[in-house]
Amino acid sequence: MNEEEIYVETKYFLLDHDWTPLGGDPPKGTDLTRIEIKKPGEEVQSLKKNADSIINDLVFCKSGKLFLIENKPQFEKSDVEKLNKLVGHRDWRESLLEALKQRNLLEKDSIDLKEKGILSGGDLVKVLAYEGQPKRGLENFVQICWIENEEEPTVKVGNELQELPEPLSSA
Amino acid sequence: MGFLTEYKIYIDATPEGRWFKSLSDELSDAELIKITSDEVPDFVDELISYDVPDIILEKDGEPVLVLEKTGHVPTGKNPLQRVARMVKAAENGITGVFFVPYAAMKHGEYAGKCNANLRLIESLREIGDYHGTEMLIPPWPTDDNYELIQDGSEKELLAKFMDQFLENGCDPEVPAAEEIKEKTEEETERILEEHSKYSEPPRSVEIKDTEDYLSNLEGKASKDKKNKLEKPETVVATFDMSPSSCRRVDPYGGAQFVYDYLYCRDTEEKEVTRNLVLRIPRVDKDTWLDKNPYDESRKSSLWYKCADALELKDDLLVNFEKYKPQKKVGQFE
Repeated sequence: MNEEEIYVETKYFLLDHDWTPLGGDPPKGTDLTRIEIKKPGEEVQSLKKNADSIINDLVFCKSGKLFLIENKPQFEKSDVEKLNKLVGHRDWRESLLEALKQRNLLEKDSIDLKEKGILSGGDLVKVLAYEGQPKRGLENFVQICWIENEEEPTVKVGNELQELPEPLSSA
Repeated sequence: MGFLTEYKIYIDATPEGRWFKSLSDELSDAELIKITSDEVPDFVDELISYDVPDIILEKDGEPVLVLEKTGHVPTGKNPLQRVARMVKAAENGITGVFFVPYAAMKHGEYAGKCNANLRLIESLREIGDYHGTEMLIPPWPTDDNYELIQDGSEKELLAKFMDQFLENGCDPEVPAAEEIKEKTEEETERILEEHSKYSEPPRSVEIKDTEDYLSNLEGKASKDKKNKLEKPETVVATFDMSPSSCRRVDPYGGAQFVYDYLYCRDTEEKEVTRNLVLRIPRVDKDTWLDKNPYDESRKSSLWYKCADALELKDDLLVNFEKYKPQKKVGQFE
């Protein structure tokens, strides 16, 4: 499966379970709007894509949690590092909150996100979607693992994560 | 036993293909085929010969619809890039659909609500009218903060059209098409009220008396070249690119088609009434031809598709065919 296919399959997997899409950045074409999270410390958001900013492949929310999703044809450690950077540092979480606020996403009735939960990181969930088998050791990640021609992925929820809404419940 | 309709959807990108399929249950069994695949029929090659649209819909072996979808804030020259794709659809008598927000929030340093470039909308309508094909521009709805709606409801009107269109044997004369056109008209009036400048050509475009224009060319053109501008008036569109940046087609490429259909053609009489000159005043001929060859495999070929002349820093180019790559002696067909 290529990255486009991982993107599409993951997106519809979540949509089919009534998750709310907030943003997306497909490898090609127009789909969901991009949520660009500026590098902390930048005073003004530039018009062009900032080379140091973070744009997640998919951003969904459900039950008050924000799911930051990276898609790849295969597992890549760089995605682990990217999500750890975004979720693991207060200044990046502040940037993320700012990006969400610019789009008035916290004000929407249909979206149950709280500023406090984003700033603390408590309501942020890191998700990796790729083709293959789940990897060990990613205990604070969700892994959505696709096998070509199979309709449903294998979902592995890290042991450090609390109960998550369907379809990301523990296997 | 009835004849079963077979739809195929040629796509530039999978997300758009899946989205397009979701517009109608009639398309649920349609095969998605990459436009760049080796096995596309000849009509796909024709329809992508100017530029590649997002979707080409085929019904029982024939093309019936071309669709372009963009969520980018459609302001300035940027959205004009996509016009060439729709021109080719109209030239071939294929219904066109251009799904775009008429107003959207721009984020960043100059954040704020931006309207669609009205010349994009108007030119698409002219393109459709000129070629006698339907060219629909359904709005991508936004919320009260001008953020694109993306919860699925944004495609309701378009889905309604697709259902009716397919049920009507792919004839676009359906009620939803009229609904779309009414919305286009409302939005056009709104934008014009907010920005009356759109009633005139942009500052980069001048409509000149041809003789006056030619007399000011300062030796760039011989009499033979001048004779190529046959119409009494000439639309001169200036693209102020530098020599180092003139290779980019983005964001300018496509604008020439907008100016062609808006200012050079009489839609009712279906005739070309003015010459079109594309002026790139800071770039000389050698640099231009090096960076923008008339190579059909490249987007740079669009510069040569609708203009009558290219005015450069040191020359006036006409008869563009001679600038195509020449076959070497001894090369076989």
